[in-house]
Amino acid sequence: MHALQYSFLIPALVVIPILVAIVLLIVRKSYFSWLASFLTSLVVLIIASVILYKSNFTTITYNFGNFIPPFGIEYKMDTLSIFFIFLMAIVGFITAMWSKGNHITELGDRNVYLYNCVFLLYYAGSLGIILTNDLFNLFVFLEISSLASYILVAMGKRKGSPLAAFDALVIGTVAASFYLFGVGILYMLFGTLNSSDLILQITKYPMTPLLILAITLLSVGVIIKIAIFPVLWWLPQTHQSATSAMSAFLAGISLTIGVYMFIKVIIMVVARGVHVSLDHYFELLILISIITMFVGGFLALKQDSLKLLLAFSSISQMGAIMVGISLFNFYGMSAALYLLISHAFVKTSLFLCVGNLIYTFGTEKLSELRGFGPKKPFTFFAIIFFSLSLAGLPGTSLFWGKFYLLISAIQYNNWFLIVAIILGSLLTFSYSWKIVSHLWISESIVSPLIVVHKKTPLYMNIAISLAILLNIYLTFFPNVIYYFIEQIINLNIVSQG
Amino acid sequence: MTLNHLILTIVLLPVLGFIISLRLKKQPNIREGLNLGIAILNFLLSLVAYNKFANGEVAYFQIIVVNSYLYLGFYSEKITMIFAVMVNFLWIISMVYTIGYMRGNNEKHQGRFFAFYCLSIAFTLGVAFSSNLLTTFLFYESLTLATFPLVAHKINAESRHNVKVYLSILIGTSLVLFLPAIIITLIYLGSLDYTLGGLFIRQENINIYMVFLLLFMFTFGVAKTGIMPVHKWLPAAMVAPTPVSALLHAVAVVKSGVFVFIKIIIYIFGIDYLSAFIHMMFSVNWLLVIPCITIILASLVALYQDNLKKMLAYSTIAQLSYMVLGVLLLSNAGIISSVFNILAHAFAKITLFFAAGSIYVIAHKDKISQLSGIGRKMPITMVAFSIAALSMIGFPLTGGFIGKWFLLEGIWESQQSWVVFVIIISTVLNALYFLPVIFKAFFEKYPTEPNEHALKKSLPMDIAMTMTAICVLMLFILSDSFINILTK
Amino acid sequence: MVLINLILPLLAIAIGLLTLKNKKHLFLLAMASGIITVIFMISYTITDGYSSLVFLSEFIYPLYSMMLLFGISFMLGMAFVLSQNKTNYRELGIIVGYFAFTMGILFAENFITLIIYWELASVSGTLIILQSNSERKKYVALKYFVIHSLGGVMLIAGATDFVRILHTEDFPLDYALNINNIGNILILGGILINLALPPFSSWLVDGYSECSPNASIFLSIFTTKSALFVLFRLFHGAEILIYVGIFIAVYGLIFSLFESSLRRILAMSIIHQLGIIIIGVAAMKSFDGFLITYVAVSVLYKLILFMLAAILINKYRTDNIYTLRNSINLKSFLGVALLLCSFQAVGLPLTGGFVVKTYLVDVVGSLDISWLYYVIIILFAGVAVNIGIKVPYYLINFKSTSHKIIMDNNFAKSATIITTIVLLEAIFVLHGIQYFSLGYILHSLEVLAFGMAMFILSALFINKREEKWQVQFNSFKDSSLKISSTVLQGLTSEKPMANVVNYYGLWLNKVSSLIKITTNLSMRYMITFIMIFTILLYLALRFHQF
Repeated sequence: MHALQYSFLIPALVVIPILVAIVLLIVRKSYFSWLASFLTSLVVLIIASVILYKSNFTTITYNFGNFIPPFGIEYKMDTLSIFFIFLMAIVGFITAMWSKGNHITELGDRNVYLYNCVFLLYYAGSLGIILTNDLFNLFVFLEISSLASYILVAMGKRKGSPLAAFDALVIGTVAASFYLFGVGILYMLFGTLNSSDLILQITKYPMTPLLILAITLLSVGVIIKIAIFPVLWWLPQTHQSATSAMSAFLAGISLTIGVYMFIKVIIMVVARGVHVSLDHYFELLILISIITMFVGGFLALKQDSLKLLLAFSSISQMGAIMVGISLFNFYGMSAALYLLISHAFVKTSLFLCVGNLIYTFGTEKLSELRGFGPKKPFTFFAIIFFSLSLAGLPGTSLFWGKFYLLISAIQYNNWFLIVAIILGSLLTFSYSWKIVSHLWISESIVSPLIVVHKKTPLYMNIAISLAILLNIYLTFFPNVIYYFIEQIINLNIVSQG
Repeated sequence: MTLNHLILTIVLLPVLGFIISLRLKKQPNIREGLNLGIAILNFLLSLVAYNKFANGEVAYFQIIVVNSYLYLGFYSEKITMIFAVMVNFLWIISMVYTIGYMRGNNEKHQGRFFAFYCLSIAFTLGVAFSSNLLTTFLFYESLTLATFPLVAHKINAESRHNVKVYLSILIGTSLVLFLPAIIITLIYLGSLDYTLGGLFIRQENINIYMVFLLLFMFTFGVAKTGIMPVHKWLPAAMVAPTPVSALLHAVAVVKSGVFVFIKIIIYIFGIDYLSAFIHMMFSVNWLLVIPCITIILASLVALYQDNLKKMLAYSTIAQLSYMVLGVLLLSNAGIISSVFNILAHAFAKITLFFAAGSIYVIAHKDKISQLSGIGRKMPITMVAFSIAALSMIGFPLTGGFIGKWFLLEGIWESQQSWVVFVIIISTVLNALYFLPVIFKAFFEKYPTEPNEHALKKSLPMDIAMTMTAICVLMLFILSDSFINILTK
Repeated sequence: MVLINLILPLLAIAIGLLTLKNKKHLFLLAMASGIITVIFMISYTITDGYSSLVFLSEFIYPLYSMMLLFGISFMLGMAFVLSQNKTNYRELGIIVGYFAFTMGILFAENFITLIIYWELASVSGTLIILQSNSERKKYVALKYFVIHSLGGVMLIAGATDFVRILHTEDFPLDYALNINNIGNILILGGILINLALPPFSSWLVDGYSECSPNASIFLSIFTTKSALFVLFRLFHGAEILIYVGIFIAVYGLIFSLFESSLRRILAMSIIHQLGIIIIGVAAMKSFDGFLITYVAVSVLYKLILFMLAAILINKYRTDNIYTLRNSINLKSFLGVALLLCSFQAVGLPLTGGFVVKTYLVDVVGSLDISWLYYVIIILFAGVAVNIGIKVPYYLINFKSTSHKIIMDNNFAKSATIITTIVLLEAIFVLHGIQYFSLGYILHSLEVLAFGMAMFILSALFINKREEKWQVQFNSFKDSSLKISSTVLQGLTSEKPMANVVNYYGLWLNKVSSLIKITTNLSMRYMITFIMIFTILLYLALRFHQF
């Protein structure tokens, strides 16, 4: 009852960005729009902190219009949601802070207000996905965020931007419709869409082909969003085409949202509810996740464009995370969450660094950027730092994720899996090292670098510094994340081992 | 200041050096002065720490804690304290040497060089003080990466290729073998802490194949010991400037590898358990075959090297296997020999590398075939070289002799007499590849070229070499007290 | 005590290196070290209760006689070097140290001290060889040091086992080790390598023939004799040494017949004699002084012969005995000295050689191995062949009265010294009166006759083609060395397999050339067989008498 006093803050997380977006559409001032989106993300961060502080890891809910679930729409904030909200708030805050200089170079001054407006919509949609406990409401927010993301990608000034946005649109829509069909069947079978209610219903219900179809459709819909092996090509394109700020945000949020949906819908509702063994289902998932890991890794290794390299690296990391989730045990889940949060932070920061490079040198090609270090020492240091973090340098948060993943694989007792994970981490190391070695120990052979903008704006550097501090903090206090994860596992997502 | 604080300071001070060197790129005098000061301070602190430890104070603390069994911990232990004192002492000397070398050679990026030099030392000390396998692994891996900028210091095609070899072997083995082995240990034994008597002895019903697998993974996973199939990184690392080869690839990096291996054998497997395990199948200690093969093959390869540093690298590989051999003998004398060999080889090899470096800087020669008569021109260098080479051979009056003596005693103690012949053959091979260098340097004529310039002298380098060469001799004279410390 | 033992010789070498500026210093140093040795000896004998200075008796403690022998030979050698015109002071400084270290081996009271001096002596020996002007000096020095370090490490390995078993680092003087565990075998092996056990004997021959003529005088005394002393201390009465000794002696005998260089003949002869002495060691049931007497006899006449070689080499710049044919006048000091040496070697009555040889025959006879007596006789005949017959036969001009050697100032001094040595040897004659019975004299004549027969055979068949044989042997040695080194190089390089394939063709060539060489060599082998057959015939005849 105590928590109820603050439950009004939950919808505020979604409503505030939407309201600000509307205001921005009216005002249409570049600087103001940037400030507004920056402050909004800050507010979201503060609200999330307040909720966490007050709720103290208990679950709080908010019923929209006071309709009692399962009939009304319920917003639920459990530890899992808080985990993701925090992640998003931090990523959003840093990206928003950083994005100002980037807008001018990659967007054009006129489009800035529009960009920020759509950005806030996307933000709101993403937050909504995490907060809502209603599967159809989730679909609605998914559509909001997806559409916003297509617009954002299309706004990039690059050659392939519209096409990439179109591709993403098509694939995204396919995924959304799969998901919608799945939700529809569930509604037909159980007459409810509230996930908490759905679990109770499913446990009572025997396994039927229709339910299996529903699960399949839901899975496919979500997996496309995570960019797992068969349908991963849309992701690099969007990352490549979007502006750097958008890339950074997409890298941190878009895939994370996919993973959240997987955990929320497939693991927490279906896998916990159904009566039959899902072993083969998860084995298949592990297989395709491993394939994803390797495909992403090898492709990343071949790229010359930094953005593409990072995008493929994201795919590879998603493979590793999905392996962790599909192992469906305590360590696997811990590994997945660890990897998820650390990857989100590191990848966002790396994209910000690439943005800095594009801002300064107007290029993102590794071959052209060779040996830029002395000209931009701070960016250089940051990119090396984050590359090493990505490589899973021992002690960094990604390392702990890999460590847990290996533990879970060994407990799973499948040598093929163990070898695959080890090789995967080697692959990760190699492509991260590629960045380091190209930027550091190679000297420019093509042509001397042309400096477009001499001075990087201060807030860009502050944003990156914040990211660095955050990474260092997580490096020295991994127990913070571990505590979070323990609380999440307490939600009985998987059996504790 | 308690011992805990002292240890933390000792590990963190070099990091301060790292930051200082990065900041002071343009002021070499201040930078190097400060670095030297830090080195001396660290040495004094480690002496104080050793004294406290000898008086019975015990250190233990954790820094990065994930949960109850995953954390980074530090603790004090006898071998560790000796190792720390040695590394810090050699750091001072090699700092003096490095200043002479880098200036004499007009190297670029000196700030970066000094920075990562310090960082490597910090990680080495981290490896030394770590109280569990996880911490060890962490610093071990970081050490590889911290030495990377040093190996790649000369940015050219050769260094790029060699760096690739260096990293791929070290990172590859540690990720593919070492880390999984740690995790398997954690899962099956429930702990990663270094425990007296080992972790295995507490556990019942351990799968034999699992132990076998773990042994394999740990032996080859710790590739810094330079064991034979995974040794190529060490010759590759010789592309680095000589001070790096001297302190890091002859002392800090390789010794930390051996150090980790010693700790794994003693504190994870446990000597009693391992000897019981080994003799379950054969009466012969088959584990010894690996270092024995390495000793012989590496010495043979060293015989045919013309590049002085490459020859020294292969000699290092052979000598490192002496230490691995010492531990795997699973006897008391064997372990003493291992630790003593760490000391003896450190002083001797650093002298050899110092000599090689000063020949390179002053006479611009790096091939053995070019060294005719260099002993007449650079007497201090070559005399130091000769003393260190004799120590490598295991000649009396040098530290190497005592190491060899205890190694042999350990071999007899564990009744593996066939290993004696390996040591004998290796000694002969050592003599065969070191002596021609000395003979060439002292008993051939220096080639006089028409446009020959007078050889400059570098005081810092001479001082450093003289000091380490004296230490090589002191190790023999004071061997009693060292052995007393080790056996106590 | 260990430290004092260590510091004194080091001081000696330091003083030697720093103060040697002219002959006066050198002379003082040599005399001082010799006198110190003698004083040491006297003080030891007095404190141990031995008042007698007689050192040729078996009652006396062997250490003192050995020490006296070393001291005297060192003084004599130094005096000889002083009389020469050209003196390499650096070399002499090292020699002083070398002498000090070998003395250290004698005095060592525990294994670590022994090993330290053992290795230091080998280093100083290496340095002495490196002081010569020879082209092969680096190769020879490397060989010398490497083989010695092999012996040294074997000794270390064995010593560690010894220490482990006994929980002590000391070894008492009368301690006879059993050759039943691998550690003691290693100790034995280490000592035997210093005693030129054949596969490892080339250090001795090469080292003594490639160093400067002055240095070879000293080298021939100390290394092997000190090793012999240690062997004596540790392994007297070990039966295996009989076979080892025979092996070493026969090897030295056969190869000395093939040699043409004077110093190489002498070196081979040293190996041969070492073999004989090792048989003696095997026959000794206790650690007594007799064998030292034998050593003393051989050391002293070897000393003369090496001095002679030095004089000849300094004079003629060669030491090939065919080139030096008839170079010494019979009626000169040198001629007489050489003849005296040859008498010693043959063991004619009234010489020290006779005394020690008959004594050795007696001792060996106590072993109850019937065939050993004949072996000993043959081996004595071998000594007679080399030094007793071959060397004087070629060097001394028996007919002419002309003076081929020009008398200069130094010559007189040298000759005086040599005479002193010869006179010293007379002491042995006095002692051996008890052996002057008819039977023993007949034995010695038998030795002489058999030696003559061997010499004639070898002179007839071997020496004529000496040079051609040498060339072939060298080419064989070179090609085999080259093959092994290339193979080793190939196997240890970056791409071993490719190299193996590459060198395969080279191998075939080498094998074919090897076959060629062996067919040419067969003539030599046939002669060797003939000699062996002769020996067997002689033995068969002797058996008939019983």
